[in-house]
Amino acid sequence: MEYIYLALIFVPIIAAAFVYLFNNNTFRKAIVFLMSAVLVVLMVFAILQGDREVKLSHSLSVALEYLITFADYFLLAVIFLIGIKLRNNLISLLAALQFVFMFVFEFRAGKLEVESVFYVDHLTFIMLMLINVIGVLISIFALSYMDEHEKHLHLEKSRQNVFFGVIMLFLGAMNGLVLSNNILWVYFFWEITTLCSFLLISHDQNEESIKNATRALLLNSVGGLSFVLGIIFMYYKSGAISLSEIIKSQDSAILMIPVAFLALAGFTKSAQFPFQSWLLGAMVAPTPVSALLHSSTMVKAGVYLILRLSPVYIDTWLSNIIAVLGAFTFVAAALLAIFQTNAKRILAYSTISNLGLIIALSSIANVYSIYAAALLIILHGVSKALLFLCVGSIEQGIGSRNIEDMDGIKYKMPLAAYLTLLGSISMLLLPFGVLITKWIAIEVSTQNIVAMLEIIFGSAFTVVFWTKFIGKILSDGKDTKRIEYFEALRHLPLMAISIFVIIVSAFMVQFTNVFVVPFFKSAFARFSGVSSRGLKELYIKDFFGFNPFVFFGILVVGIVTGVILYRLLRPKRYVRVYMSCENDDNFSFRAEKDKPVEFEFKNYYFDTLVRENNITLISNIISIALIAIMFGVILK
Amino acid sequence: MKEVYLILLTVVIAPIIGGLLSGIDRKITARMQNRFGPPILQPFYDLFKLFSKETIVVSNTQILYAFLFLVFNVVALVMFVLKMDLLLILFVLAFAVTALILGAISTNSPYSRIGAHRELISVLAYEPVLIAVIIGIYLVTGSFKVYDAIKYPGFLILDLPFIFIALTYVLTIKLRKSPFDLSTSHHAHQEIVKGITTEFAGPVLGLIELGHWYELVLLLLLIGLFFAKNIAVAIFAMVLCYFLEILIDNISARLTWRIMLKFTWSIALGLALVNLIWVYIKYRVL
Repeated sequence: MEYIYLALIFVPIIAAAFVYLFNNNTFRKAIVFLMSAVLVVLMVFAILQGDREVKLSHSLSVALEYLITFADYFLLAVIFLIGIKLRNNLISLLAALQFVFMFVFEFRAGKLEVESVFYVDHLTFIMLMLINVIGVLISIFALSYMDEHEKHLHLEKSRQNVFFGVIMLFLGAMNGLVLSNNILWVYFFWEITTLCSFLLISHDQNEESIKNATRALLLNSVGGLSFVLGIIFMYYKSGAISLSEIIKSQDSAILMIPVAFLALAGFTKSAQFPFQSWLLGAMVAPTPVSALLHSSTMVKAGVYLILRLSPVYIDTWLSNIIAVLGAFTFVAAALLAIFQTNAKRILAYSTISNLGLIIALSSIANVYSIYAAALLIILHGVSKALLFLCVGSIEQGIGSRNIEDMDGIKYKMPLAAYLTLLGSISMLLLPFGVLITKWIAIEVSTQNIVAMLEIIFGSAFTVVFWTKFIGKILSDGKDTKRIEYFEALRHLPLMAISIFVIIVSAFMVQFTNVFVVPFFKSAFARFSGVSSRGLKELYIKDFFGFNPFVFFGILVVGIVTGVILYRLLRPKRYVRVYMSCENDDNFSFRAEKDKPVEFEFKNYYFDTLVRENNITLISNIISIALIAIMFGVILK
Repeated sequence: MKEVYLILLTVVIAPIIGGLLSGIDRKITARMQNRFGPPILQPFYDLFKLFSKETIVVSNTQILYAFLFLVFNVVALVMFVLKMDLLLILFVLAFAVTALILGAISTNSPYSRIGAHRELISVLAYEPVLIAVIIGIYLVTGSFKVYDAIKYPGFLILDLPFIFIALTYVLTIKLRKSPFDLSTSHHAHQEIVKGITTEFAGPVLGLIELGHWYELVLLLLLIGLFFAKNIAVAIFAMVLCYFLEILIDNISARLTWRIMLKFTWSIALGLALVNLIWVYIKYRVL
């Protein structure tokens, strides 16, 4: 049955080639739908197979080995050439360094074969579900979005073949990344995602998008180099190059240095401070790209790697520092989100912040924190996909992504507005799961007092920026003309993702028991420190007495009561807002000679208190210092 | 079954206590200002009058937000009485404030929006301190549950004196009393326009008023938790703290939000932090 895993990687890649070669709208749609169906079915089959390490027949394994080694060097050469074309010597230098290190390493180490090609466990399942359900829904959404996007751009020749080709390649690479056992293969797929994100960010080919894509490529190349160093140290320290061996490795002390390098690679990919700028820049790309990068692909690869390696380094000094680093990104990004007026930037900072929380949770030695980390990967992926797609639709509708322009959006685009509301509420309030993970984060972080303080502040900042965001979505506006029209190809994926938002939160406990507990048991089996609470206790019925169904029940009862109450208190009279009786209507006041003058009220952005740039600068300095400390502690 | 009675009892008794307390507040305030003041039952008369009025709104959704503010406050109090997780109670309390803020933003009124944003700044100020208070309780008792804090054999105040001061400090912000009544002036004694509640009127304002009473009871119970070993001491402490709040309310003028943020984050959080560190060392390291 190993062909299922191979198909998960190669079906999207082959589909990508077809889409790229035949630039025909109908054909492209057919291929996207077909691939989506195939991927979902394959994913279900892969999950039904259960945990396994898969060996391939010798000849196939060797062939793949050669293919990937060759493709890897080819990829690095491509990045090198892109660097030259962009006149960015640093990118070329980083690519060349990776090329040379890799070549020398493979030449000297000789045979680097791994017996089991695929390592599939429950963490892989979590990632596969995210990639092949949410990723696929985003691609379907993109079909309609890109038609309109190109209409706005007035292109002579559609570039959608490139766009969808890269997106499919991206999905294939992500599947490869989470399935591979050989860390060299993981590295190869890692680099493909770097290249894909570069191509997607620069898709519109204007000056700004190319600039931002270049920055993304540069920062991710730093991560790539760190990854290569991690692999080399790993091999010389322990002789292991397969993930399964690394995780089972008995002596974690000697693995600290390679793990630190791999964690640094994870930081770059997950846009942690000080590498956050590439993800913010990535917003210039069409919205489906942002949705994809933020929810199911790219940034999740980084946290996946860190969570994957957590059995190796957990309960060491390294894990304490990584927890502090992750929690620092959580608080700094949440603080910066308060300053933003651009809806996409708010979402981007919130993503960075949540990824920081996932990293912090992955490295706190506690059963529940691992739970929460794995849960948050899914919850955040689903909610963020919804939010980005909605904000993208709103942007196309009103021509602005500034939340100050979103007054009255609930009248203009009701569906998009209320789904945005659902997405943001799911990030902030009970009974949705993201809050549960924040709660667990505070409870478990009492072991690490620095991380704890960061999480306390981050938690307060989170409330502030989400409340501002939700307030704008719900506020009245002068213009109430409806401009939204129903478009099946766009709305169906949106509705599907919204349903997932609710389902994932409602069945959180069941989800944990089915997917997270087995991952925990297999990966952390040998750690007495982490599992001291006893593995029996793992089958908790609920989180600390929290049962989502009870809370969903209360929510339903609350809404019903609210409706009844509304009937009782049904307003008999509507009035104008209070403006000392000097208002003309709700949006203007009477000035000289009773002439109406429109007034404007904007959210507070605290820009009079501190400058956003200063906070960014200070945060970058602190995070660089923390990374230096991380390496300082482990190098002996 | 016992729990059901407890819940019903809480839901009925809490607003009575809350209403009486605000009546006493008004009486004491009046005496401090050399006035005779309204009868102690005045808040109840006010509330009944509000509910007997015609519903007038700017936007329909306001009713929902006012209702949610009340519900979340009730839920938080019930969770406290059922001795559940303190952090979760704090989150639910935060939802209540969120509902109020959204209600104020939902209308296009400049006064209520300014009030809403000032309330947001208040959240920014007191939320970290409140979480720190709860973590302090956790470090001493080893549990986040109200149940374990009550069952704790000693007085929590002895281990957490600074944290207690920080709590009373942020209580002023949470109760929207001077010098931190930025978002809405308490009893309208400094301004005519009432900030965050400007656009609420009649029964809808009544819901918010009722919500405040539940909130008040919950916050005082939180104070009492520090003296839970002895009920009499706890009640005495709650009364004393409430009196102090009224006193401070009457002798201070309003500060700007910048000063509030600066003071809360430096003084209150600083105190809490120092206390947290020594408790951490005492119970976790040694």
